[in-house]
Amino acid sequence: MRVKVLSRNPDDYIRETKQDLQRVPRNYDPALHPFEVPREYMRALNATKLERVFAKPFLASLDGHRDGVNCMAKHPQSLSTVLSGACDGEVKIWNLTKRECIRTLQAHEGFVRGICTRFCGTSFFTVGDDKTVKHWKMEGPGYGGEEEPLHTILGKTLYTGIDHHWKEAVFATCGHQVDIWDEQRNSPICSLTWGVDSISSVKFNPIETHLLGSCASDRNIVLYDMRQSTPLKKVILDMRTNTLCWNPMEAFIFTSANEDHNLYTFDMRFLESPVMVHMDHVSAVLDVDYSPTGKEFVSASFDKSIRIFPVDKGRSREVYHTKRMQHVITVKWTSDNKYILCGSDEMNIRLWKANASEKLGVLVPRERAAMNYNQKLKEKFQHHPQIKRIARHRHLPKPIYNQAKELRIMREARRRKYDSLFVFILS
Amino acid sequence: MRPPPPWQQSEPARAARGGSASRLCAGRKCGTWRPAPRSTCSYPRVQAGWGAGLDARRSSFLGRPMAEEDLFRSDHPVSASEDEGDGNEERRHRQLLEAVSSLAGRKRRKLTERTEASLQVSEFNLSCEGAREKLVLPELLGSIRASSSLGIVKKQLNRVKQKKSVELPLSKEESARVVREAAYNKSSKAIAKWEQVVLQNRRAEQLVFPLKQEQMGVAPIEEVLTGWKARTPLEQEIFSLLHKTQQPVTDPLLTPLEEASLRAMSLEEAQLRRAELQKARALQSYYEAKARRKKKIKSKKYHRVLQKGRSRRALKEFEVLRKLDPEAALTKLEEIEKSRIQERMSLKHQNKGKWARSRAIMAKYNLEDRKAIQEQLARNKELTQKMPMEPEGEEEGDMAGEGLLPDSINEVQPSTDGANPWMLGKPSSEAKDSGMQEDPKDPRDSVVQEDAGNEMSEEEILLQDFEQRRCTQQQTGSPEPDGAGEAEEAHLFVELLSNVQTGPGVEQPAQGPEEPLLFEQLGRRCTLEEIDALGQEEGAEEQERPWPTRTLQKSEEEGSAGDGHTAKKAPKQKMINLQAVLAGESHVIQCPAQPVSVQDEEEEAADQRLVIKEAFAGDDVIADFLREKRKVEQAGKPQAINLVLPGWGEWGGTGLQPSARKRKRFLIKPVPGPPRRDHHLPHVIISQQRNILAAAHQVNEVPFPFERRQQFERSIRAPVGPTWNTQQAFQKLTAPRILTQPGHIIQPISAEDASPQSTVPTRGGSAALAPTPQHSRHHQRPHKKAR
Repeated sequence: MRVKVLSRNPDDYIRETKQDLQRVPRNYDPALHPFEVPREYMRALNATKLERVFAKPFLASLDGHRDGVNCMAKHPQSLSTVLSGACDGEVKIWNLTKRECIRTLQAHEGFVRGICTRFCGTSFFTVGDDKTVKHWKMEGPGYGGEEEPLHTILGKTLYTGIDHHWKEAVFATCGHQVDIWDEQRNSPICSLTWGVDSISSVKFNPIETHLLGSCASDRNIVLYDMRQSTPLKKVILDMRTNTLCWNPMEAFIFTSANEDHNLYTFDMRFLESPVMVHMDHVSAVLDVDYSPTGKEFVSASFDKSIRIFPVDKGRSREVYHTKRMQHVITVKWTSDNKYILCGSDEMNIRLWKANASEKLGVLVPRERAAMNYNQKLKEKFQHHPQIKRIARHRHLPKPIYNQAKELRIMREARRRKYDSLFVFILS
Repeated sequence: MRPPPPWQQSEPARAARGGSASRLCAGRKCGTWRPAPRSTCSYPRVQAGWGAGLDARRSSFLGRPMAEEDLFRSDHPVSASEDEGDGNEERRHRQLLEAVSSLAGRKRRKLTERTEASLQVSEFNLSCEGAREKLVLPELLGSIRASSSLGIVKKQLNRVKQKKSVELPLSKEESARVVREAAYNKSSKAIAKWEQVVLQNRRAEQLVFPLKQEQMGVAPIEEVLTGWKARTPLEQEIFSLLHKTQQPVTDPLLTPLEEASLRAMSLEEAQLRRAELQKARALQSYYEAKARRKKKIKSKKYHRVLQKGRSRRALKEFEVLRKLDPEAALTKLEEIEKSRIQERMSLKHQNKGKWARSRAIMAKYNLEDRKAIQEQLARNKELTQKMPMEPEGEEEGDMAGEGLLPDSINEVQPSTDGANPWMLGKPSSEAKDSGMQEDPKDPRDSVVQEDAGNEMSEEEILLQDFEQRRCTQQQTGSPEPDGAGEAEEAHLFVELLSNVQTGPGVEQPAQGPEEPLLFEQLGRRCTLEEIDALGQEEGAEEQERPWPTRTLQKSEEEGSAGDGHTAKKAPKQKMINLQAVLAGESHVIQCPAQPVSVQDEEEEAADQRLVIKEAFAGDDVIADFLREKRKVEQAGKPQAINLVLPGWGEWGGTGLQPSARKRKRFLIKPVPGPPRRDHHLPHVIISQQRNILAAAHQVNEVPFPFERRQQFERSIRAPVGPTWNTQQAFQKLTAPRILTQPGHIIQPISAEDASPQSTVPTRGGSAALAPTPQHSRHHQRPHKKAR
C-alpha cells in the first residue's frame, strides 16, 4: 500500500540560526486579500487619528532669564548647546539635554540686540544697546574668574544685529549701515550703505558665503556682496521686513518675515515678485528660521504663536502655542532637524518637537517601518475629506482664532470688491 | 540792398558785425550787403560749433591757410575777371554757369569772391553765404591735397577726426547705480549655477541628511591605536607582556620572531620539507588505493565482520566515553537517537525493498527465506519503536523478556529462534548495549541481512556478550553507586540511554531520594496517580511525548522502588498497553473505516436536507428573491414622462380614448440606461444608489496635482501595505522622503556636496557645479556629533 504523505523541505520553515526571524509563509494572491483600498483607507484614518492623539509637541521650558529673550544662537558644533540674549543685557548658555543654564554673563547694558556664534564654535559675538560689539569665549572662566570679553569694539552708532561669516573670520553688523568686520581689527573692513535708514537685521548666505541680506526700516530688503563691497539690489515691500533667513540648501532662496503678517520667499535672481507668500499669522512676524534640510521653516510672530511652513506651501502645516507664551521674538530650528526653540517676551525659551507627534528616542526597525507606512498612508489619502479634516484640525487660542476669522472676512471683502470692479471695467 | 535778417545771417557774419564790419564790407563789391542766394554761396562753409571753444579754435587756426590757398589757386575764370566792370548780366551769367555745372553733377567749387584787393586777408571775411550749410572736414582737406607742406596738418586733422570728445563724468548716484547693476547681474549669474542642484533636490525621491555621509569601513589599526594609551592596570599588564615578547603594537603584522623564521628557511630545509610532503602524498595515495580495493570486495561476510568490528569498537569507545565524559556520551546518544528517528522516517527494513519482495515470493516454500523476512520485519519494528519502553524492557528483561517485545513480532514469530536479538539469552563477554549501537548502523547496510544464518551467528555472539555483561553487572551492582555525584550523573545518563541497562532493581532504592533534585526543572511535576492514569488511558499519546514523561515515569518508578515488584507492576502493565496500542495502530490503518464514516455522513446530510425541506415547505425563498429583484429593477428604471394635461381629449365627452398615435406623441420615452451590474447574476441584487454614508468619505473633486480622475484613482488603487506587497517592495514604497540621522548636525549644502567630481573644494562662485546627485559619499569629513 502506498501512503501519500505531505513532504516539505525543511529549508522553507527552519531557521538557520536562532537570531533569524521566523519565516512566515505568505501568499500574495490578491484574491486572498480583498478590499485593499477600503482597508488601507481605514488604516490611514486610524493613523491620522493617532497622529493627532500623539501630537504633544511641547518638550520643555528653559526659564532663568530676567527679561524677555531678544535673540538666540545655535552652537555650530554642539546640538545640545544654545545661546540666548535677553533684554536686560544678559546672555545665557543652555544645555538642552539637561535643560539647564550652564553659564550666565552680563554682556551689555540695555538690550542684547544680536548674538552669533563663530563657525568653529569656540567663541561668540554679541551686540547691544551700549554701542559695543563684544567677542566672548564659549567656555566660561575658571572658578572665581571674571566674565570678561575677549575683545570689545566701541562703535559710534547703535548696532541692531550681527551675523558671522560661515567660513571666514569675518562678521557683519548692522545699524545705520552694514559693516563688515575682520575679527582682528577694531574698525570695519568696509561699510555698505544704500539710503540712510536704519537696518534691523543682516544675514550671511550660508552657501554663497560672500552674499548678505539685510532688512531696513524703510520697508526694503537689500542684498550686498561682500567681495565686491557693494549693495546689489533692493526690494521695497508694503511694510517693514523684520528679518530674513537664507535657505541652507538652495543658495538663491531666502524668506523674509514681514510686518504685514506674511512671510515672503524670494528668489534672489528674480526679485520682482516673491516665489511664495506664506500667510497664516495674524500679527507681525518677528523671526524666521529655516530647517537645516531646507524644506521647511519656522516663524515666530507677535500673535504669541509659532508656525511651521513648508517652503512650497502658502499655508502653515503646524501651529504651536501655549497659554503662557507671549509675543515670540526669536525662533530657531536645531541643526538635527528635530527640535524648535523659541524665545518669547515672558522670559522663557521653549523647546518643541519639529514634528508634533514624533516618537522620541531609538526606534525598533518594526516600529520605524510601521511609522513609515503610516506616513505613506496619510500622504496617499490626504485628499479624502475625513482624513483631511482630522489632519488639519488644530486648536487655536480665541484671540488668534477671532483675528484670523476677521482677516479672512476682510480679505474676502477686498477680493469681492476687486472682482466687481474688474467686471465693471470689462462690461 | 538791405542786410538779411539776423536769423538768416550765419554766425561769423553776426559776430563780425561789430568791429570789422567795414573791412568785411570792403571785401565785398561796393561795400554793400547783398542777399546771397544759397546756391551761389562761394565761401567755404564753416559753421559747425563756431562759438564752442575747441571747435572754434580749431577753425580759426585753419581759417587763414585756407583763405590763402584759395587765393593762390585762383584758377577760376571768374576770379581772373574780378577787377572787371560790374554788371548784373555778368553775375547772372556766372550763376547760370554754375547752375549748369552743378547740373552736370560735378562738385561745385565755391570761391571767395573778392572784389577789391587787400593786404590782410582776415579770417573774418569768410563769407556768411553758406549760412545753413555745415562745413565738412573732407572739404577742407580736399583743398590741401596737393601741397605736401601741409602734410603734418593733414595728419593732425585726421587724428582729430578719429578722436571723440570725452563725455562728462556721471554723478555719484548714477555711477553707484551702474556699479550695483553690474554687480547684481554678475552675482545672480554666479548663483544660478546652483539651479541644477536645487531642482534635483526638489525632485529627489529621497534625500539623506547629513549630505556628507561618513564612509563605512574598517579604519586601519594604526590609526585607531595612535591616540590610545594603556590606562587600566589590566591594559598595562597586557602591554608589558606584549612588549616583552616584542609583539608589535602599532603595526601588528608579524613579530620579529615570525619574520625571522620567515626569512630563515634555507634551501636544505625547503628540500627536506618537500621530501616530507612527497612522502606524505605517496602514503596517502597508497591508503586511498587500499581503501578502494577494500571497498570493492564483494564478500558479504567480510563486510559484515568489518561492520561488527567497527560497531564493537564504537561500543567500546562509547563505554569509555560514558565513564569519562557523561555529557559527551549523552550528546552521542542523542545522535544515535536521531539516526534512529531518521531510520524510522525512512521506512527502510520493510517489505518494500527489492530483496524483501523476492523473498516474500519464496517465503511460502523456503523456511530460510521466511526466517529472513521475519527477521527483517522484526528489525523494522525494533527500529521504528519509540525509545522510552526500552529501559523498562531492559529492567524487566529477566522476568518479562517476551512480554516486552512488540506483539506483532510475537504473533508472527512465536518461536523465537534468533531473528530477534532480544529473544536470545546466551551470555556474552562484552557489548552490553549492542542493540542500541546497531540501530543506527543497520539501516545503512540493510543488504547485510541477506544472509540470515551467518548474521545470526554474529549477532548471537554480540548478544551473548551483552547478556553476560548484564549478569556481571547485576552481580557487581551494589558497589557501583558508591560515589554519590558520579552516581547521579550516571543515573541521568542511564535514564536517557535507551538500551543501556541501568543496573539491578536492588540498586534503585539507593538512588531514589536523589531523583527529585535531578529532575526538578525538566518538566511539570505529576503525581503517581496521574502518571498511572496517563499510562492507562492515553498510551499512544504517552508514546509521542519526549524525554520528560519518560523521566517522570522513571522517577515514579524510583519513588516507589521501596516495594520492588509491586511498584513495578504498573509501568510494566503500561508498557504492555503501549505495545498493544502500537500494534493495534498498524491494524487500524488497514481497516476501511474512513469510507464507511463518509457514507454515514452522506446519509446524515441527506436526512438533514429532508428535515429542512419539511420545515420550510411553505415558503418559496427563491421565488421571493426573484420577485424582489424584479421590483428593484423596475424601481431603478427611468420612468416615461407623460405630457398629457388633464382634460385633454375629453372635449367630446368623458370616456373617450384618444388615438394611440396621439397618445404616443405626448409620451416621452426614457432612454434605456446602462445595463444593471447584477444583470448576469441571478442570485444577487446590487444596489446602484449612491451611498450617502460612504460619500462622506469620498473625494468630491480631483485634487490638485492630478489632472484627471483616472490618475487619481490609479494612485489610490495601488496598495502600499505589507499585506499586498513583498517586504522589499513595501520598504521601497514606504521609504520616507527625507531621512535624517538622529544626533547629527546637518550642515548647509556646499560645493563639495553638490559636485563630487570637483577635486578642489571651491569657495565662492568660480566652481562649475556639475548636475550630479546630491548625497554623494565622497569628500569625507569627520562627523560632528552632538555633545
